[in-house]
Amino acid sequence: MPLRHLAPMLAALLALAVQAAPGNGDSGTQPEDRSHLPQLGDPYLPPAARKPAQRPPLAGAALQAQARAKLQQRFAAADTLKTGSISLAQAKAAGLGYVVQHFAEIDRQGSGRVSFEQVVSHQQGAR
Amino acid sequence: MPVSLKRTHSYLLAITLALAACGGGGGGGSTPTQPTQPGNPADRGFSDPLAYSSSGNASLSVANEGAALTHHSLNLGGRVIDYTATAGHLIASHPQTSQPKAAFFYVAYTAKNQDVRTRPVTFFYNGGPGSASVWLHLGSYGPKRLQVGYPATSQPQPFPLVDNQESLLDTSDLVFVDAIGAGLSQAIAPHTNQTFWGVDADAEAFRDFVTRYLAVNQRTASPKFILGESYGGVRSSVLADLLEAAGTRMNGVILLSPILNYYSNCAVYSPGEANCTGFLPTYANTGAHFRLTNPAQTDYAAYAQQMRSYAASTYGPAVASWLGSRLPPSNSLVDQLVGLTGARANLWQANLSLHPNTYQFQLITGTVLGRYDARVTAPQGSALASEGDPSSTFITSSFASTIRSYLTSQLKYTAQTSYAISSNAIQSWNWQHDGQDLPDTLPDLAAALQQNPNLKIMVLHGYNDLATPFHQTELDLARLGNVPGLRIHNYEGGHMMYLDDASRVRTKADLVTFYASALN
Repeated sequence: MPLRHLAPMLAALLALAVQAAPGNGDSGTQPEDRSHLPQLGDPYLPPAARKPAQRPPLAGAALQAQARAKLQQRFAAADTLKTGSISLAQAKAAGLGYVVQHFAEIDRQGSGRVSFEQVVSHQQGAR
Repeated sequence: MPVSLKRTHSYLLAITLALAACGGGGGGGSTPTQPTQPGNPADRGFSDPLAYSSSGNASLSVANEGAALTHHSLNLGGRVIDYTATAGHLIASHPQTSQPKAAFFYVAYTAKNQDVRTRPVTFFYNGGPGSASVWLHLGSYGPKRLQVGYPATSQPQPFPLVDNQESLLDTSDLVFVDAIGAGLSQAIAPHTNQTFWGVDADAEAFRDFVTRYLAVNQRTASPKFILGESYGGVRSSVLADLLEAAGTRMNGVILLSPILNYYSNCAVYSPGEANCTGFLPTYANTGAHFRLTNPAQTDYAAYAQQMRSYAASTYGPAVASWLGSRLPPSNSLVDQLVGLTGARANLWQANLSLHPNTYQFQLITGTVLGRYDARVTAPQGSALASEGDPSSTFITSSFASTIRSYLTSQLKYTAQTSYAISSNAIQSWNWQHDGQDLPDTLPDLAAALQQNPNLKIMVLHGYNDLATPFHQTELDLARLGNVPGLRIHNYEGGHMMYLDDASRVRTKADLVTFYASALN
């Protein structure tokens, strides 16, 4: 067997040896399972819940865009007729409390409808 | 709807009590100011006829909003704060359908004679998920605290419950609320506790509790803060976004030893599975505490800064490479790591991405370090080490027994069942969030900030916390880019750094500064 295959195996064996060393077993508990602890081993994931990430963690401008998309999605869910804007009644029905409370300020033209961009600009203070 | 019909009586009672709790500031204060001593004649106890359950399938067919109201005073270095304590339930309901979701158990401490338009209110909760909020309630900034005396473990138990000189009651009203299934919080039929055992459903229910609390107590105009610990960091990020969307403007989010992204904390994975770079500064400062580093280090803040640089330049890239190749690290790298952390060479050789479980059990032969506070140690095989975390085992029985006696004797609240320290929610928790299997809540925090650019965020961590390492949170938050309103503070101590007497004083001072900045 080539050496480059042996090395990871050796590392894995050593890792096992360390994990199984006296102390872990002597402690009377599996450190891997912390869910019995009073604070549930927080943070802890039951083994079945441990899964790889489906996408890389976004950062900077990409993260801000992801957050904005999240808000836009929430707005779109309120825009039940897909007109690109919502009425006060639609904002209420969707639980968009911020829009409900500031509807008149956001809707400066008094059109009875507000767009996502108008909401964002009101929140950013750029009225 | 039988729930709303049957709860009418207690509901009215709660409204009455809540108005009284507003004191002179809320406009509803008809309760005369009384000399405050135990057994104040103005006290109104509440004996809840209901029994509460932590089971996943538990469901209340009848709920109430009954609460006990008691009067107290706290002497903070000569300044006497008269306050009320309200202990009982409030019903969180679906914002659109008004269908009741759950009866949340809470204890609210409200200073008397305050202007509710300027007096902040802060909601506190622990994490788990599934933990009751007793740790923050009786350990951190409430009017009373258990005198723990970390990191020593020689104190007799239960610890005495003393007036808390670091209480935040001089700065904010305080509401300690328990997650559904914990404490005495329970779902209302047709829901079960399990309905709310998930990242989104849990945060939505907390939003609805906050909404209810603010409405009942006429606090919608008050400055608002949330303070969550550990998993409470995930809850706070999601909750902050939800509250902003609902029109509840928040002033501040306080993340105490938070986990923000389950994909980035290697402690939730098995050793060797994930990148543990975020733990290196914690290992180094804990090694420094035990005088195992070479050279010795005494300045935690300076050493942490050195370790951030080393992690970024040398250790992090090496771990990333090791996770791909599993080739043994170079001797020079191992030598450096031994000197910097005190952890032996064979540990790094076996797993360059050294896992906190390994560090906790292997740093000092024959000794188990605390997971929550690595400075708290116990001999292997001892009772204190038997659960795998001496720092947790040492405090559990005092917190569990004291919350029960405190509720009964001082807050005059009883129910047919006793306060549950935790549920087993974590075993069946729905971790899905934002289209992924596990919660990464940085987008939620970013969304909260986009909706409210004035929102202030404060982060508190312990240098010796092997559960949620401070540097990992720094790396996670760096994803947000420049956030002018974000402050990160690290202290000697562990996950519950407020149990360290010196650090509690420092955290309190920094919190007061933070509140002032968030009230502008």
